[in-house]
Amino acid sequence: MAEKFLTRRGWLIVGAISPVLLKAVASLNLHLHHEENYLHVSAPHLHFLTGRPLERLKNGSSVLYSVQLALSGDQFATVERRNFERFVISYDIWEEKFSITRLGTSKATASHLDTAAAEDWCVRKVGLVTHGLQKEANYWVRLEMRAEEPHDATALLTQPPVALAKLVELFARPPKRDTEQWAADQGPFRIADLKP
Amino acid sequence: MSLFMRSRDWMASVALAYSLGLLVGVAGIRIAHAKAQEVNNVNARYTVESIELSGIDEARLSRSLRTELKRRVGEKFHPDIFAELAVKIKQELRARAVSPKLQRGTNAENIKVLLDVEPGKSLLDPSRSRIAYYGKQGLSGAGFLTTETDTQAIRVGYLNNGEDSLDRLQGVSANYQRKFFRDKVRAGFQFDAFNSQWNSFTTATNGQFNNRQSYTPTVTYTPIEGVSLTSGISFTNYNFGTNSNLTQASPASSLGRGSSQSLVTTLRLHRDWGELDSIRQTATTEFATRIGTQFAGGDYSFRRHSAEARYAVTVNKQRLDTSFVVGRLDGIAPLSERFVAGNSRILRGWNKYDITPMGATRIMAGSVEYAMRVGQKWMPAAFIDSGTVWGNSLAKVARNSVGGGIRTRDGFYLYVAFPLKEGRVEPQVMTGVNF
Repeated sequence: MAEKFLTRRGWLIVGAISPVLLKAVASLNLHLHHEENYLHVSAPHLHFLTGRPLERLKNGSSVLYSVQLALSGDQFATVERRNFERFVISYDIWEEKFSITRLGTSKATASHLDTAAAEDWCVRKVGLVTHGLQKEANYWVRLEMRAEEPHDATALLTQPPVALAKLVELFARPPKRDTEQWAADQGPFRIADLKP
Repeated sequence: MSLFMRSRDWMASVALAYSLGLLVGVAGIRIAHAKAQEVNNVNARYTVESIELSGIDEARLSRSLRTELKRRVGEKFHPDIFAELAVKIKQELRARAVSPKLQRGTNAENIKVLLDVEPGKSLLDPSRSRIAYYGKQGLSGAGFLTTETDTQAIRVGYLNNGEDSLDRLQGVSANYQRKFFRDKVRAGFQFDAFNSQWNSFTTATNGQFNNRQSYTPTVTYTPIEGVSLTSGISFTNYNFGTNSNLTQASPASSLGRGSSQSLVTTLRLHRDWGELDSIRQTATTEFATRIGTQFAGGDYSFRRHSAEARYAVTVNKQRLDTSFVVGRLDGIAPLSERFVAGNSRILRGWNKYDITPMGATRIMAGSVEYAMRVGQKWMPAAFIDSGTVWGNSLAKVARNSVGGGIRTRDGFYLYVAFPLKEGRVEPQVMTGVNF
């Protein structure tokens, strides 16, 4: 009789640690930039125009991405500052380029973007005001991004302005089984050490 | 005299409430008739060159949906509209999923829309099933399973219904239909077998049967979509047992058994205008006639005519439902042919055992219901019902009721209804789900 590839105990151990492993793989580093009391990030290794959201985009649908940038002074035991942004992305069937609109009070748009440029544009549009923070203290920053399911996206799009509490709740609750989510971290760092 | 005046006052109040309700509803609908926020989609600049369906024959779609699809050709592409169309197609075909996909058109200004339909996995369809609880009349339920192909349809079901007739009927129902000429003609056969339980309020009357079996061959002709004419003959056997006196209900039978042969004809008109500028309207009218004849040895001779009309309009999140029913029964008919009101459909809030304990031979009733969607699923609703039943020694008294509650888009409802009457008002709670 062939020996089993993994025993039942082995499967249990793998099952128990796999979320941790996946989380570790998913936790990519952010590049931080600080300029005029404003912290913004870039994440060249974070690719969110992939998988099912990309398939929906290439089928002509718009996809709503919700993004949260959070800053903590205690490794996310508490969150000191956070900012949310929502982006509607669509894909031009003829030009094969992405078009993006940032929703909310400070609307911004970009078009004719390839995949890398579109991802970078979204990430760079999310920032935090650093005024009042200690320049020499240690901080951690986390970027979280979700591609909303069409059902949730409709609710978020058709009830402007979106309450902050709703967005906090959105990121606080665990994602639905089919929801695609990405995250990237950085820290500890000191604001005094950051460059533009 | 004073009672008469009070009754008139009630009627005036209800008429005023109707008018106000309609005015408020229509005004609210107009005010809220604002388009949802446009979602930025770069493909909205392209013109829809064609719309195709994959996975099904387009002929299976209703005419209103086909018309709506055709109307979109030549317009600029709007993803929300096509997402809504996909939902409608999914619901109508009971498909597992319908996904709109864009493809390049023949020139750089155009795109083709492909609606990819993934058929439902289950061949068994539970539609027409329902569960309802209505105050003192208790729980009623009907479970049906339907399987349908391009050439035939079979439906079987079990019913335990204490609402829609004088008796509480309990039993099975089966229906087979064969389709001809691309579903223009259907030949069908329906079989029903029910046991009856009678409430103490109805034991004083004659003609109560213990059980009945019906065999009804029919032919349905659908000349154009939305119009169908069904004709057939219903053979029903009644078993009265030994505790019933048939001398008044049926002079021809005194042996504990009776039979009824009736010609049945139903003309059904249904129109769905589809969705235009966020407004959706549907209307259904049904005229039904049953003529009992003693020609082939039947024990009953009667004529039963009824008409029922429903109209619903949905504007964005708001919905207005109106319905009206009228009926007349003449001759000597089985108790099962009599009209009842005071259930979860007609004159909600009233108890059928109070207002039609022995059934009625005339009915006229209407209802107006307004609902507004809150969030994705819930719809608070309010209604006014009004009507009268008379004949068969019942006086012609106008009755009204008001109520409200909550319903969901997927068929659940929970209402409380109040009969408008003098003295102690006993609200009726009704809840249930329509599948």
